[in-house]
Amino acid sequence: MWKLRDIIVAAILSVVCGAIYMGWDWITTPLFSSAMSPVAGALVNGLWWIAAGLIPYIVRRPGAAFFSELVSATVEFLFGSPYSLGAVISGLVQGGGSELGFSFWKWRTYSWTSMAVAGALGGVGNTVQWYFEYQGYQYSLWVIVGYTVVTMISGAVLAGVLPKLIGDALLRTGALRNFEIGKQARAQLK
Amino acid sequence: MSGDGDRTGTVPAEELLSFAERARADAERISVMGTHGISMADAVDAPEFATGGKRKRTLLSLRDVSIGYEDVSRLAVSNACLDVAEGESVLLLGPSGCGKSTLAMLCANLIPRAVEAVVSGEVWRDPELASPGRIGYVFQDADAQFCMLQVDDEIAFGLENLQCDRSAMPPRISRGLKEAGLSVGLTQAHAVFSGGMKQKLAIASALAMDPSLLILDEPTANLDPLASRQVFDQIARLHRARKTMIVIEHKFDRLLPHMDSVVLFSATGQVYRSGPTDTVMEQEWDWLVQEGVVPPWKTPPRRHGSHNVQQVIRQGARQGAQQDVHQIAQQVAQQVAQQSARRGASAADAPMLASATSGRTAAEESDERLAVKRSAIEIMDGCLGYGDVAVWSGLQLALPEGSLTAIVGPNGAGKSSLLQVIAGLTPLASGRARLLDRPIQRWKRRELAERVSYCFQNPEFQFIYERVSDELANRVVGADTPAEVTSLLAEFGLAGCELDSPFALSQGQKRRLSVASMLREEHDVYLLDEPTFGQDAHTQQVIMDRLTAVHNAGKTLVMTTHDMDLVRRFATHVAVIAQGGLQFFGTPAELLAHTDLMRRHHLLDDVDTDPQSADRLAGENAVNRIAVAAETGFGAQPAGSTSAAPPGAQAAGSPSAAPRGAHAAGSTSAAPLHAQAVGSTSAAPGAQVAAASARTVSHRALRESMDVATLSTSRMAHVDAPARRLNPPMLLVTTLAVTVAAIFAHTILQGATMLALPILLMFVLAWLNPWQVVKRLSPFLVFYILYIWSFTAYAAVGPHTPTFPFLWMRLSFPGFLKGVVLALRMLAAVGFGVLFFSAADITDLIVGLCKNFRVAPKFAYGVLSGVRVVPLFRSEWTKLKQARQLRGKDARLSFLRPVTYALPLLSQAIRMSERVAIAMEARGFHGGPAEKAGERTFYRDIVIHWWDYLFGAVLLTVTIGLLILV
Repeated sequence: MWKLRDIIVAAILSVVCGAIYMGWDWITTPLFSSAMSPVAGALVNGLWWIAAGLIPYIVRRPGAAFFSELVSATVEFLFGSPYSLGAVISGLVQGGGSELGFSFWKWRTYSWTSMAVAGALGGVGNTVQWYFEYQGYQYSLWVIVGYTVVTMISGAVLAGVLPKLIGDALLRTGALRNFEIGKQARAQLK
Repeated sequence: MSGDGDRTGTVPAEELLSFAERARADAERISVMGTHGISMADAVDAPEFATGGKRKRTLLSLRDVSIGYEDVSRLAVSNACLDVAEGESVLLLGPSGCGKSTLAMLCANLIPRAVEAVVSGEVWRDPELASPGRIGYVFQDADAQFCMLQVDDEIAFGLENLQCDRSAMPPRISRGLKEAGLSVGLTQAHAVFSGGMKQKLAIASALAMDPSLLILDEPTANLDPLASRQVFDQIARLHRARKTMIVIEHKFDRLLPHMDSVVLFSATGQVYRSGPTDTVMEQEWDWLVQEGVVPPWKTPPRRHGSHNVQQVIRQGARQGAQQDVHQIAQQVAQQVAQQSARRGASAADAPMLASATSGRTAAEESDERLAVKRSAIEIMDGCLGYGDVAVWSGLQLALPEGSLTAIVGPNGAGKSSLLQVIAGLTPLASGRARLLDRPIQRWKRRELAERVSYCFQNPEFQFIYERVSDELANRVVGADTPAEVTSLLAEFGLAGCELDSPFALSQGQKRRLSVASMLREEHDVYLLDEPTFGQDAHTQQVIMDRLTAVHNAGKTLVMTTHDMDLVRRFATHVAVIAQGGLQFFGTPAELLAHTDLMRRHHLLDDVDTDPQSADRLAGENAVNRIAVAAETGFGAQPAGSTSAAPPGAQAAGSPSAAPRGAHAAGSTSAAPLHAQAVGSTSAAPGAQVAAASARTVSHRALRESMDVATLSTSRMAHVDAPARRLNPPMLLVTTLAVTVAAIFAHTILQGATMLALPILLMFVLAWLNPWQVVKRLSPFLVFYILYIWSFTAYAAVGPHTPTFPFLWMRLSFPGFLKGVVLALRMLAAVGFGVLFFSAADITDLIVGLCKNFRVAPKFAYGVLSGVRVVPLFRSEWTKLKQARQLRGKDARLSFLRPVTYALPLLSQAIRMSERVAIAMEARGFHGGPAEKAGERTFYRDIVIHWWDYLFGAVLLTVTIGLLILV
């Protein structure tokens, strides 16, 4: 059951992530996607759904991945992302992918594996949008396959492993005591 | 006795009335509110319930209440008893961390509903308090108790939770504002308010809900003296109106006359003593000193035969010119000595006593120093500004080596900025600054980090490591803590915390750790931004002892502070920064003799008890009005005009400050406000100063309003444009649908048509002019050129298509065309996006989602409260960056920068969101009104009209039609 503080922490962190996404939009495209091949560009994709890993890891509620990714993507749009409304669509598909990943464990397990799988599935969502909206189908087959695989790996790392590391570091700061992550950590100690 | 001259009445008649009331109350006092700690043997003030005469109704009663948090072994509160009668005001006092707030939150039923805790004992609340919103709660963090963006929405939020009828809201909102003494426009964005105004707004929000009990939990903890005064005056007014209140406040001097009873908490969370204010304070003063609740140098209030030190100074100063400065200083020193002697100076008092008595020579000493020593810091004709707004100018300052200079002045006057200039963090706009005989800009950052040490107001910004011992050693030390670190830890009362995260410490501990790590290495110059701010007496003592030691070692120290006691006792020099310049520089004794100067710059507000409030009140109102006028003025550009957005905002494609103009035009316009303010300036002498300090508020306001404008009121469509009448969530759904449909544009013509559509709508529906449209869309062009390139180089092409090899890529013309199509499509998405937020306001969008689309209020309003904190993050980020630069670590760990930045920012964000959630629940946001949209009322009248459906259907049909036809 979502508590008000879960929602607000999810909202505030999503807003932070939305700001990061906006920066990422402007930084990464010139650096990676265009100068190198789309496959190289896919390396950095995972960061765009880090909210869908970090926030579920902290609040541990069903729907957390989808909700926070949608909010952060909308904030990205409001901040002035070059993807504009496309960013909101990204939020829907990436968040949906990650949410699907967490649902495999019935939103109970937040291990390295579940985090990585959720992150990778967020990447699948991302690839679907890329294929249709950003004309992924125009590329040669190896680019498409490469893009998909690299995006999934990127998602597993940047939207799965990285948020887990951040979440664990935050747990040590004591700020998460009253959240589900803190409670489960204490329960494990007992 | 409460009714001596120590009061702050505004109207004499009111004053008299309240005198009479209080006299009656005193006579009738039957200790209805007796409170005690059962566990304490010496608890003498057992509750004596009415035995005769009129009996006051008890609203709240706690018996043997203990509260514990799940993961903390010690109880936060143990065996507390408390009774609060109707119309009574109760002050809770105790050292920090003693459980006062915990108890207050229990009273408000926030524990255990919003904050999980184990509660035992009996809690009885009058049925009147049971329904939501009957207990108003004002928290210490002004920024963390709001969840909306505008003044009226903010106050209405509570009323919506009460399911107050929409038509009844406006009068209640105005009444709340009036009762809280806040005169601002209803549609102002409160993010730009000063701390004092924010707290008044919090009080207004609580009062509008018409609570039977008002709890104020350290409402002035984050405020400067002037703002604190405003809040205290407000509390006094509420007390005169017989509002039932529970107040937690460390700076309680001014409140005592308005508090009927006091409850003292010991450090272990037990109620030590409770009873009528006068008796308890008279008898327990020494205990308060001993517990570190009040600093030892403080004078007991209204004790017969003893004089307030400040009063002596003022009396002396009032005699003015003929009185010698040294004589006054001597008098002060004698006073302090006598009082300390009377109390029986403890060992801890001794050094302080010595420094106080040597106050007689403070002036002489520093005179000598001025003559002999060369300057460590020199600023010549310095001017500092943000954009066009000057913070201060013409600043001439030379701080001798080995001096301890205090910088004082109102908030926003640029005190911290001065420290930043000295530290080389902020360059001067003009003028020269020298540090240790070298122009500041010539210092290399690393060298500077070795010579200069800087202590930020927020200690968290300085933490780099994840463990206290690493932090103190400035490297990862592992399990074996170096000896010098261990001894430092012990000295600062941090022993046993070696392996904890610095962020997990209490506020006092964090501050001590940051000071300790700053003092660990030797520097020549120490800059401290409010080193004792918000610390309890004990922490203050530890910090000041250490700083004195550093000072005695001949180092140069500069600190900003609001605490005139601190200045008097420790500083050799004091600089007053106010009204855009240096107002005074000299010894503290000289400053103390300038009563007029001190009063003008509100330096005595903490202690001043002169009945000149009428003047000042007029001044304060002027401050409020002018601040608001200034704020409105910044945004008040003719609606629809092209705004002067900063380049950054343009690049981000974000609508600039212009939309505010629409608000200003729609509600209170800036001009009359200005006129009002000017009017009161001429009326009250104090107001002139106020006007000046309003200017300082305004430069902050300018920066912040730009941030807020990006998100809150980002509408740039013309006020009368049809787009404004569209339902925002419906418009979002429509534009999203069209963007998805546009995916099917495969030819350049189709792409161009898709782009033309939103541009046409921007003209027709939003009445934007072509220049605005170009300005919004152009930053993105660069971005899409990269996309075009990507396709030119990598698109799959048929075997017979000619390609041009370039490096490892194969460029093709069909690929280029595909890239152009995609770029057009993406630009079309931007076009629809711009159309959306030129018409929609984010509050309307989210409230609309809740009201029209039945999104659960807790999700909708939760998101809104998250959006609200954006501007806060920006300023935090800047400060954090500077703190890192000064640690001299930034360069070495640059690749790790995002990580070391993330922790303090995120942990702060998380703590803040907890506070926001608690504050929202305190305003009745729980149960039905939070769970179901149908169980709350809405202040904003957002409806879906027939034309919303029509617009959606037509737009989608046209889009699909065009895609088929073209």
